[in-house]
Amino acid sequence: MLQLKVRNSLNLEGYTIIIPSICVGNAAQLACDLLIASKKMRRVGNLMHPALIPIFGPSAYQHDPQERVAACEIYECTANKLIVFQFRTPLISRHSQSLHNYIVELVRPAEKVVILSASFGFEKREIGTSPYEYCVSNSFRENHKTQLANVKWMEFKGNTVFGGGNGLQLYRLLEEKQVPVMLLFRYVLEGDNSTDATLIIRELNDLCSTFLQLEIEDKSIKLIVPVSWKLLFGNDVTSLIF
Amino acid sequence: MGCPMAFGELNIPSSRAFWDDCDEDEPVQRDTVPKKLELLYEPNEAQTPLPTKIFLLIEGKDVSEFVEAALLGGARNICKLPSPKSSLHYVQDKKLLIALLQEDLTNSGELTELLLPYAKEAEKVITLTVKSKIEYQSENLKCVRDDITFIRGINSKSPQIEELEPPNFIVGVAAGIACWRHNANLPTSAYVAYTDNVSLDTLAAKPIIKLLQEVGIDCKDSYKPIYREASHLYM
Repeated sequence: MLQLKVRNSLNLEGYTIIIPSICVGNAAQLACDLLIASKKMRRVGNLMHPALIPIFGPSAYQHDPQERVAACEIYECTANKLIVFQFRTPLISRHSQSLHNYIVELVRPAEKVVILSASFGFEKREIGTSPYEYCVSNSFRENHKTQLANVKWMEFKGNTVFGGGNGLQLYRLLEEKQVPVMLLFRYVLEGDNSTDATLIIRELNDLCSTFLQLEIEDKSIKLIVPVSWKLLFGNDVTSLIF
Repeated sequence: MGCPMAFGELNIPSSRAFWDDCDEDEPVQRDTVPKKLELLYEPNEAQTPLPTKIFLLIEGKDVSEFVEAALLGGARNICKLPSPKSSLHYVQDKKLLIALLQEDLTNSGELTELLLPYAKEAEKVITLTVKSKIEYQSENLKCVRDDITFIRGINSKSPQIEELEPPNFIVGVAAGIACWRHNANLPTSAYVAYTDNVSLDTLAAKPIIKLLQEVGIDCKDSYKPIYREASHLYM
């Protein structure tokens, strides 16, 4: 169920949609967190579905303290015609297909969809090449021929992105429905994946500088770390145990 | 991905994409429709939402005994929820609807949708989630170290209750209902009780009883858990 703020429907014509998959190290979700916080994106709604474990809590971003976190949040930047989804819970597998179908119908009118993901670092077979791989639908390839010709990423040819979560499932569904879609993933190792998130955003920014216009300061992207990243690895160890 | 069968074999960790036991490289079952959960109504109970002034949802791993003893004295059972220890009750004279939730998280999204008609009808919704104190994250743990139970709120109306701070949050059916109500701009307050004893004893229940009375819920003044011989030793 889509719960929108202010408006009655989501008009996605001409929009670029970024969807994180729930993957190893939560790298894609962290990247979306950075993107939303850095661009100070506005929450336009949220999604409720049996596949999503409901959550509720204080705002995850300092730019919008009155908001409350939800299992799936939708953010918008009208200036860049950009919509970013943020998932905060893992999926319930028996309902995941129904959620994917719902998302596909929702984003169908969009100009393009970019799914961010990550894969286990030990699955990388070619050492010394780019840590990124991508796959694109025919329509996406057609529309972004020149940009794709210049990227240093490798094209993914396999059948499974190990550790990539639901990204590939969603990609295949979107491709089936003729939606221009790209799946971009980085090989990462489980641990502190905040650096991976930054690197994913920078990489995406290089490709899509037209829509991902982050604030420029000293010729580098000014990324804002969201307040929800506090205590990413839990509380400090109590001195009582020593 | 099973256990390594031989020395050196890679044991790839299971997926974090799914909460239940499922790996992302498993084939997608396209044609299977999962069995839908249902509310199991008591005979003679209407399946339409009742006129409700306050809809109170209490959720926790082991809250059923506390809720039954402290809150359900004059309440009638409306329906059972999928988990055997979860149910919906109604106090006619107070127009108070109480959901006792001791649910598996994998059902919580679906169950939230089932309870939404009740949440839409209620004038006010109050949720209380009982969590273990160990789950509370803070840079200043010292101030709660000695409390057996302490309460935090989201959209709390009480000045004595501190707001829950990031990165903490609540999860489950109570969270789903509170989230829906908040996004629909309807009055809702969510509380979370962090406690040393999630099955609640006399001392652990005290701050919870105080909170419930403060927010206008008719609740017993104290709670004494039923003593059960948990030890299997015999003298």
